[in-house]
Amino acid sequence: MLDFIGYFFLVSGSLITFIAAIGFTKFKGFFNKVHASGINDVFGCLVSLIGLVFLDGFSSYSLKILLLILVILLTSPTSTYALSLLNSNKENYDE
Amino acid sequence: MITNIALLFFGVSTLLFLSKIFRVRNLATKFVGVNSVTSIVCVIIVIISIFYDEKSYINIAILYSLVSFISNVVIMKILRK
Repeated sequence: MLDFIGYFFLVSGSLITFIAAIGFTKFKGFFNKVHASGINDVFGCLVSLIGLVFLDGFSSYSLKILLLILVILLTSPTSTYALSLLNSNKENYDE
Repeated sequence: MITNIALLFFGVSTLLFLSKIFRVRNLATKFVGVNSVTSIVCVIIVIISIFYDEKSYINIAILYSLVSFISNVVIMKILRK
């Protein structure tokens, strides 16, 4: 049962990442791209890592994966926010 | 089999992000894409460490995510000047 949940989360996360990559490629404008990138960082990768926790079972290694989830959850939106703040004063948003 | 499908999705996503990073002109957009690629690389490292039974790779993934965050902040400071 845990394997099934793990594989479900892993494939769901990879699919979300793939959809976010398509959005990053297709969207016009800077902030739309930031939105697609944020979905990948906060949702796709973290769902995949939660699936890997279920696949590995609950051990010390899973605690390290949970630590990695915490690190990504704290750092990745922060750096995305900082980079979007950098571009917020520019007049030309599109490319 | 299922893990290979997930790795395939992650690989194609990385290629899509990289293709846009190389084509786009805005520097901030490039670094947003690089930030996404680093997150995907962390997940790929953890997948490889579980399914090839190399348990020490998870430390590399944690260090890699921290270093990418620090480098992103430094880049932001440089670009803001």
